[in-house]
Amino acid sequence: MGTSFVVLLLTCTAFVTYEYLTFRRTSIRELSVLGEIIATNSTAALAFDNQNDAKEILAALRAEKHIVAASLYDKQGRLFTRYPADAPLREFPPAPLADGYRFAAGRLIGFAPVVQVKGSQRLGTLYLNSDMEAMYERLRLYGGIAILVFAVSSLVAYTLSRKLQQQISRPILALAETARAVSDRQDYAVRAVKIDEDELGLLTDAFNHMLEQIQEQNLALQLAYDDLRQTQQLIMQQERLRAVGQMASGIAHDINNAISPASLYAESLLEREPNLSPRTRDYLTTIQRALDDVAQTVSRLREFYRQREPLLALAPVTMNRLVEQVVELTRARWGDLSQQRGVTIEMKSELAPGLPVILCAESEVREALINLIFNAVDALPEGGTITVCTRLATTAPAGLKLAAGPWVCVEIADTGLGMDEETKRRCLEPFFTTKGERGTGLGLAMVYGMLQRHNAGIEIDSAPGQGTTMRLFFPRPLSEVALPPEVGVGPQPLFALRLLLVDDDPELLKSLAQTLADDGHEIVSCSGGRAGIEAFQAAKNSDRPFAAVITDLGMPQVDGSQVAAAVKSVSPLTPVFLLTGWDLGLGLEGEIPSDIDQVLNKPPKLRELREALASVPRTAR
Amino acid sequence: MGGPLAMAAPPTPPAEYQIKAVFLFNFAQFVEWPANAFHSAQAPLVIGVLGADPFDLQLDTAVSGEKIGERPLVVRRYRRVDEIAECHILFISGSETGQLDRIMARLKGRSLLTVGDTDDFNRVGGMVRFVTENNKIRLRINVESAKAAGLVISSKLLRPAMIFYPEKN
Repeated sequence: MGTSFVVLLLTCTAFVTYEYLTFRRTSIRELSVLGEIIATNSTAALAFDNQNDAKEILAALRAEKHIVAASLYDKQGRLFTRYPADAPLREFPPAPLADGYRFAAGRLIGFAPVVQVKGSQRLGTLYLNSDMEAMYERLRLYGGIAILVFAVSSLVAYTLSRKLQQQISRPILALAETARAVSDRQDYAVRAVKIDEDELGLLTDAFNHMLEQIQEQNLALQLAYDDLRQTQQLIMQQERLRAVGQMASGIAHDINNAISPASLYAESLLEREPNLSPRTRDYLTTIQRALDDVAQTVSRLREFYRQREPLLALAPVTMNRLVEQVVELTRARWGDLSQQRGVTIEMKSELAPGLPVILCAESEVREALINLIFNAVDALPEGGTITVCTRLATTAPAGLKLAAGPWVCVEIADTGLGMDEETKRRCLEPFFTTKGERGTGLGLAMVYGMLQRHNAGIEIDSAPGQGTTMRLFFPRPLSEVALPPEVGVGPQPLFALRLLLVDDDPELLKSLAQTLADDGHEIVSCSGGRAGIEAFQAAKNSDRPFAAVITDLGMPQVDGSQVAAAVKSVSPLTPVFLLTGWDLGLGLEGEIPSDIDQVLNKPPKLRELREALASVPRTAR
Repeated sequence: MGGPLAMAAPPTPPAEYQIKAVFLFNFAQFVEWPANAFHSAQAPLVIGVLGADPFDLQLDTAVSGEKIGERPLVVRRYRRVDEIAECHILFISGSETGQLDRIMARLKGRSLLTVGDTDDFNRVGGMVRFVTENNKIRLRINVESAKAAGLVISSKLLRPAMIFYPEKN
């Protein structure tokens, strides 16, 4: 639009300027032509001295408005006739000047010879005086035309541009609007409206196509991003668990070492001293249960660094029996302790009979159920009811990715505080807790870990003030399994063995030696791995070699695996039992070294020790 | 310069025959003669005076040094009509008034522009007559006789002139 104006303006200006420049030449030419005509006509008048005739000839100049004055001079240069006839004489030159036409004082004046026959005598001179009014008039006319052209062209250009704007600008503006909407709102579902089937329509199509691709790629990117984020969170979570696990295993080691003597002595006393007073027996029993709880607690810490245990020992379990055990085990928390706080918690269990036997790691499931009951108790600061029920579920929540049903479902419901949406969503995350200092944020995370290892799922129903219901869904084994026979008390020692004990903890060494000696074995204790290896080698060369070696794993300088290797190098058939407060996953990468015959956890249990020793081959005894 | 110029009201008008001499010369510019009126391309144009010469030397002065195209101008004086040989403009003096008819008859058929200033000049076939009106010399032209003589008088010459129509008179 602007361009059109400028072009028009330039054109008109050039046009007028050109006219102005050429007009002078044109004026001179026109005046000279006129002069020639008048001069030619004036010959006879001059030749025969006829002023009337000359006057008549000049009077014809009336038709030429721009001729303001004209006159004829005779052969002698005297004024002969003038036009207009009544004009004052001072308007005319007294005598003719040089022939020719020139501009002077805004006028164009000219002198032309009056000659009848070329080359012959000159008869006189014609004087013409033309004002430039005609030029101005013509310039005005041209200016008017230019302005008119300019105005009309501008109007046409404006109308056209309006029209074109409809066809060109509107779709482009619409496109720009769409582009802005897309970038402002990040909404790639927006599409530009196609207005016409022209080039702009193609552009709109291309634009929309581009948006489509962006949308698709954006979606793919979002999915990839979500995936990455989940993976990252998982890795971070595992990393945190690993760090906690490392710390926990160190603590576990120390605690297990520390409680081992107490545990051994208590077990030994209860078993071997028939004359204990009831009070003593009661105390010892309490001590032993407490130590067992400590050991359990410590072992639970392992959950955090035990990644999907490759050797998950699945055993046939009846869920109902497990639930009963758990209710009993937690009685202290929901029973006595609550009553001490003046709060009443009612525990109800509704166990469906005839549930299928499931395959699971019994201790893990038990710990998980204990955790859930503890949570339920915590959710009932003012008291209430905890209901534990089992049933066969034929339907499971759609969100859970479970194997085909039906499933064995355990439901633990409380009438407590309940959880809001945020808490419900995050409660399974490690280190998420609502219990402040009292909570570790690991309870439900552990439960979740267990469920994953068992391909089981969890459903949580909760709302603030409405209580919480946790439902665990365990898959049935593919084929029915039978329960194993009841495990009895450990076998009594049948043979007295000569045993080498190696540990760096003198208390543990002492208690273990005494306990085993009470079983009738002959015990040699060595503090540290180096001393142990020396003692074994010395005995090997004597007539009283050791039937088996029980060695601690974590010892300074020479550790248990080195002891085992040394023993096996001189006596491959001698069993080596590794006693450890460490988790296997850490020190031994989950693999039992070939030098080790069996791993025993601290605190050692008499029953486990006896079972292990019972396996010692006769030849070595 | 304000006052009336010489030709408006000359205090001493240029002698009548001085003007007529100039007019005679000027006729040479407004009249065309047939080609056979000249014996050659460069042949002079002859202005003759028949009878008593009223011009004195003024005609010679007016013509002196002038040319019509290539042709120089020559003044000849004749006492009798028989003397006229190659002549193009002939002023017939008032002295010949008595025998004008005879002269005209003798000149009939010749490409000769006859000029005079006597009253009956046009009527007896004279082509251009000088007429004095208001102190001005005017021309009266007998177009028919000029045409009959094979002369072409420029229309421009006819503008300031009066036309003589024989049937009217």
